[in-house]
Amino acid sequence: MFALGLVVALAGAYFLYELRLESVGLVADFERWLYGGLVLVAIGAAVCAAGVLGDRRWLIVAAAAAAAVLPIAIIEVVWRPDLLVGVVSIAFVLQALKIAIPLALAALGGAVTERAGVVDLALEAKLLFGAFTAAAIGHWTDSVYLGVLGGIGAGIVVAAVQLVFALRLRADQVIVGVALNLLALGGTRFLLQLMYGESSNSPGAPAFGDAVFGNPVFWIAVTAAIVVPLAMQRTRWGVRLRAAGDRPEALVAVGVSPSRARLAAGLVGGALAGAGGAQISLSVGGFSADMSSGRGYIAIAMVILAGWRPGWAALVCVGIGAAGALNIQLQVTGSSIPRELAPLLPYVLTLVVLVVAGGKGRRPPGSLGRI
Amino acid sequence: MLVVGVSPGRVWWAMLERTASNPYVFGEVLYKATGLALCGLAVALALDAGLFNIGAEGQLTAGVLACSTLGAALPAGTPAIVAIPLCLAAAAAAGAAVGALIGGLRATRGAHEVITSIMLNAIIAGVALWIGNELVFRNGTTRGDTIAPGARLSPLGLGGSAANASLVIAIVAIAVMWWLRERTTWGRAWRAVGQEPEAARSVGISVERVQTLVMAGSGALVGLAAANFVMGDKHAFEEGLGRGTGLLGISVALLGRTHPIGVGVAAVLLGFLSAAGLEVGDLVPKELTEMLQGVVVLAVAAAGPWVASRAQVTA
Repeated sequence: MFALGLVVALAGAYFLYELRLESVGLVADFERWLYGGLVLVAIGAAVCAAGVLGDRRWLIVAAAAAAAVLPIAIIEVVWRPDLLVGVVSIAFVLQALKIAIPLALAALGGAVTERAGVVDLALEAKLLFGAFTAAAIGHWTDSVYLGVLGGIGAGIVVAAVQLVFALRLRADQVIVGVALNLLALGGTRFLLQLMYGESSNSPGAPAFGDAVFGNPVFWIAVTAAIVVPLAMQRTRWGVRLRAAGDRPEALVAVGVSPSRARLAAGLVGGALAGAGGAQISLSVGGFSADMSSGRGYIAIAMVILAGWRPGWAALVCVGIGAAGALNIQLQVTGSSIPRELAPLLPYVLTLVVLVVAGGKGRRPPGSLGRI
Repeated sequence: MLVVGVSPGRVWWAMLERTASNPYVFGEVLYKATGLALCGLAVALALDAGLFNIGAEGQLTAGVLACSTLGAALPAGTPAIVAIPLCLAAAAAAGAAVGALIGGLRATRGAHEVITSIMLNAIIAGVALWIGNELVFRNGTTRGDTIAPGARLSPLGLGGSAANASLVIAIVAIAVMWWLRERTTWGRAWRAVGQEPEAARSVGISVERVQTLVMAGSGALVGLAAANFVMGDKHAFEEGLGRGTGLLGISVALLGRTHPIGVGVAAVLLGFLSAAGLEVGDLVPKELTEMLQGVVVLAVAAAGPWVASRAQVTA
């Protein structure tokens, strides 16, 4: 295993080494070599890791990398080598990150909430209300920052309602999630009607446009992707929320209320998802009905795929973002793949990864949904 | 409702009164309830076996596509006795195929059915749109060819509403599901798999087979809901036909506590909310009544445990 990985990685490294010839004009298609080299190094490194660490999960990473790249490489390079010029560009990476921001934030929020033992199907509602509130406050104050804060606040409010119903009233958590999603869909349209007299679009709000590094939500997402996994391992908040999810009776035994730990987790989760919602509306400078378009459901699927680990969940979402950016690239350069089917790539990949890797690795938190 | 200055009581009363007095509204309630009942039964069946079928949305689209394509392909003179069973079978088979894929992946590969369902929902929506744009839609519309007259389910004649003979299908499905669930060893097997998979395995039930079959059955029920929309009302493939019914079916199943009769009652309640809600547009904006569905589902979800805890206190 290790040897195999080493060979692949070395082949990739050789590709990269050959790039030095580019300066003397021996390698004509620089991008293709760079791209192929990087991918081979990545796959090889993952296979090596699987061999060294004896951890089969790394094979999943390798399979995902291969699955993400090979079909596209085969299909597209044959006809359109110029496409690769777009793929290795900085603009491509930025585009991928931009698409990933709301998904990753929602997935981080979902992972936090679910690890504490609360089923979080309400992510869609948090995104949608977050997007609406961010656009409304952005429009009112003409400030992006206040808009983002508004989105976060809306996410917290939705999470609070969800937790009151789930923890206090002991309603079925799945129904609460689905009901809140319904409520968000109708509620945001109703508020549009009430506040602006029309039910599909809000008036303009300040927008980030295409800025990624100048976008406060991007930095929130990056910070959260680093801090949340650490906090979950190292802080009292994190230990308690994991205990609430896996062994609530242990928390009771040491005199801590599992419900309180779940509340502390769920509100943070709501804030994260709300920030993701703010990105959805403020990136285009306005809210339109149902603009989250199922991303909350995709995010929860990614949480499960990542085995309820927040950092991995965010990373998987970046992968979805990359596939989305690739899709845009395909549209721009013109592609043989029909425009209705190209956006489905990340979902097909997710299925492929699941089928190849199997889903037997990680178990859900012990008390998930059983409060 | 207080926000827009109309008393809630008056709106509720208007919804009830218009449903009772106006056959059209009554029929629309039944039409919505038909689709919801079938989707609710489907989700309930899966839940009984410990599986969460959040993929009814995709199965519905697959059913709509199969049913309308076959219906449109049949010669115009096909008699109803041939056309109706064929189209129903096509709808059910398409839903069942998607369901069986989800169940099979769960059973053989351990792939979490929630992820595969959500992914398949997205994939099927995209593929259906593609097939629609490439092959089915006519002249830049989002509507395909009309199905053969013989494949249409007759309307119930309630004031020109969309209520149709598939209401009978829904009622039969409720009865059959009740019988299977309460009175047969099949029902015992799938509920055993849902409650104690290890115990079920130890008494010789193949958990994997049950999971696959249950998801196929669940998908078939959703496919029948698709027949309600295609054969009973629109008579063609339309982009987004029946959308949202699959997700609402989850609420229906859970509100009905996965019991077939409970599912029927919950379907009528939600059907009433969505159909009658549209009819009080002169009193309140229709966006409000959309929102109301969510509020009511929340309230009912919370009321169940609350009543149960009260009952314990007094007992």
